[in-house]
Order: sequence, then structure tokens, then C-alpha cells
Amino acid sequence: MQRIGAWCGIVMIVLFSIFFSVMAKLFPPLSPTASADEIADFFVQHKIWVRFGIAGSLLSIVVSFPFLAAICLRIRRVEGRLGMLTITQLLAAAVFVPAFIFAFIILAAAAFRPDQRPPEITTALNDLFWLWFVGIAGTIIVQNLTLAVAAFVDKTEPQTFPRWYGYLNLWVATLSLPGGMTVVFNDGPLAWNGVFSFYVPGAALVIWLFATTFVINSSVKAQQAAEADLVAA
Amino acid sequence: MSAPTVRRIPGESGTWVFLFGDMVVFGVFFVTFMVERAKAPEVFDIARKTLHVGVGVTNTLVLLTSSLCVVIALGAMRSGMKAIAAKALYAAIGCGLAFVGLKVFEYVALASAGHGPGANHFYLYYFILTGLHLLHVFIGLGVLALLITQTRRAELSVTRLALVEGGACFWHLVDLLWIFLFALLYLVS
Repeated sequence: MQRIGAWCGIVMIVLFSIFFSVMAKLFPPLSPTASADEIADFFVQHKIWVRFGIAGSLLSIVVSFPFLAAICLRIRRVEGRLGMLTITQLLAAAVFVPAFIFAFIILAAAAFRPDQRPPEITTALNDLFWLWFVGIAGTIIVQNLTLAVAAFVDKTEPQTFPRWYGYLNLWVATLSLPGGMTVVFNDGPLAWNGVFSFYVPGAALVIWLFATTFVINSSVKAQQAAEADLVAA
Repeated sequence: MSAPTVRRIPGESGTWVFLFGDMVVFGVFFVTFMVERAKAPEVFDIARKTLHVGVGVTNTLVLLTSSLCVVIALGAMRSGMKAIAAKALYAAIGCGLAFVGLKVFEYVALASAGHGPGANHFYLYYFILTGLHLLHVFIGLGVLALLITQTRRAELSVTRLALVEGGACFWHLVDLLWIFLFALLYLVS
């Protein structure tokens, strides 16, 4: 079961990328310096595809629930009980998913009737989506730090998290930090379409998702093999 | 060191996931800066000349000195001279704090001369890149403080020593990134 959960991470990001980037054409992001008319135009032009993309994104995000559950269970294995780390991870993960969903509902509202209202309103909704979407970096950072601590205190046998995975999490946390600054900048590398706040943290997140799936899979396999040996002996 | 031909990686191998990862990302940041600079070379060059090269050079020397202190501290810790190790680490932290002080002085001087991050793209990148580096300096100071606590231990296990080495490597990375940053922002015309 936990291995299925682990795979859900990759399934989620693949589905999400297809809906978000290919269908809704929201990658690369709309510019935060674009005028209200340009933004409204985008939504009017691509209305149907953006809506389908959002619908798909909304449905693919929930695939991450089993993935996040698997992470919680692995951390609980390290702690041996429902301790601080498990609950912190649980809370951060629980906030992370609705934050995504609500952001997309706002974007759905932007794409709902862009041709029947002043472009400024569409722009405001669009702003709200991007600031939210990039600005929720904090909930990801907390998950990374929790996992890093879990990897460093891990004394389970066979190992639940390898130590390099702890360092990888520290790295992702450091890179995600600029995303939290995105509300300050309208332009440049820290704006919501900037290299430091969007592309680098995004790439780090994808690497993290694949690494997490790999780590959970191999540690569950090792655990099952150890348990099978125990039963045989 | 029973087998001197065996090449040993300092710290735990996992530390290098973070160190190399960080280097790659700063590499991306540097390339981004170069691309932006290529779009407006005159603006960037005029703005570059308003930076305080003297302060930049001083900061480079300050960080190099602190790195040297960390090297001394690590050597002292390996041979069990804990008092020297602690003193060298305090000196390294002192240098780190001096770096932060000089950086703040630079920021204030630039901002009060009307060269704040909003002035043009050079200053925007200057503040963001040095700001991200300063964040690393703060993390590094925390790491050095952690190393000081390790000098108080009676005996260092192999894993702890590896952890200490990893921390030292992180401080060297902070130093290395600054040298690149200094060259890129202050010197390249």
C-alpha cells in the first residue's frame, strides 16, 4: 500500500504537468507585468482549454493524498509512534493540498466569464492565483525540514530514510525559500514567473518528488524483505 | 589513515548532495545574471562602478580568513586540541559577523545613494544574489555555532567527526560562492 502511495507522487506531477502546462498553457506563467487587457485576452482566447486544464489540475492534485500519507507513515516508522515529526508533516501536508485546490478554484473563476466583465477583475483573480500558487512555498519547506530531521535521527533497521535524502531535503528547502518572497516583487527573478521563485523551486520540487518515491519504495521493499526473513526464520 | 592511497571524501557522502546541489543552483543564478547583463551591458557597467570595491575586497579577505580558521579548527579537533579548535571557530564566527556588518553597511550606503533594488535590474540582481548569499552566511554561522558545541565533547565518534567535516565544507562553500559572486558583480566589466 505504501508503495502505491509513493508512486502517486509521480503520477500526480505527471498528470498535473499535462493539465497545467499542455492543456491550460499556464507554463511558462503569465507575466506579472502584463496589462489587464493582455491577461483578460489570454483567458478569453483560451477559455475552454484553460477550464479543462484547471478541472484536470484540480483532480490530479488530490492524487497526492496517498503520497503524503505514505510520507507520514514512513516518518512515523522513524519515530516509532505518532510523534512531533509525524504530526508536523501531517499538518503541513494537510494545508498544502487545499491551498493548491483553492488557488485553482480562483483561477477557474478568472476563466469562468472573462468576456463579460472589466479586464481588471480578471487580472485581480489572476494575481490572486499566482501569488497563492507560488507563495505557499512555506508549507513545502516545513515538509522538507521535517523529512530532513527524520532522516538525520533515523535509527530504524532497515533504514527508513538514507542520510543523503536528508541533505536533499535541506537543499530543496533552501531553494524553495525565495518562493515565499514572491509577494514582494512585481518584476525580476523573484517575481512569480522569476527564475529564483518559480523555475528553480519548481525543478527542485520535481526532483524531490521523484527522489521521495524512490526512497520510500526501496525502504518499504527492504522492510518487507527483512520481515519475510523474520517469518521464515 | 592506514591506506594513504585511498581517496577519502570529507564529511558524509550525503552532505555533498546538498553542497553540489547548491553549487548547481548558484551556477543557474550566475547564468541568469549574465543573460540579464547581456540585455543591457551599459546600464550594468555604469551601475557596477557605483559598488564599493574596497568593501568587496575586504569582505573577500574576511571570508578567506574565516575559512582558514575553520581549517585550523578542524585540524585541531582531529588531533584532540579542543581549546584551540574552539578559539579558531570563535574567530571564524567573528569574521562571519564582520562580513554581515560590512554587507549591511554596503546595503545602507547603496540604498541611501538612490541605488536601491528598484533602481534598475543590476541593483535588483545585486540585492537578490547577495541576499541569497547572506542567507547562506547566516545558515553557516548557525553551523559554526553547532561545531563549537562539538568541541566540548570528550570524544568524537566517526559519524560526529564526519558531521563536523560536513559543516566545515559548508562554510567553505559559502566562501567559494562569495568569491564567484564578488568577481561577477564587482569586477567583470
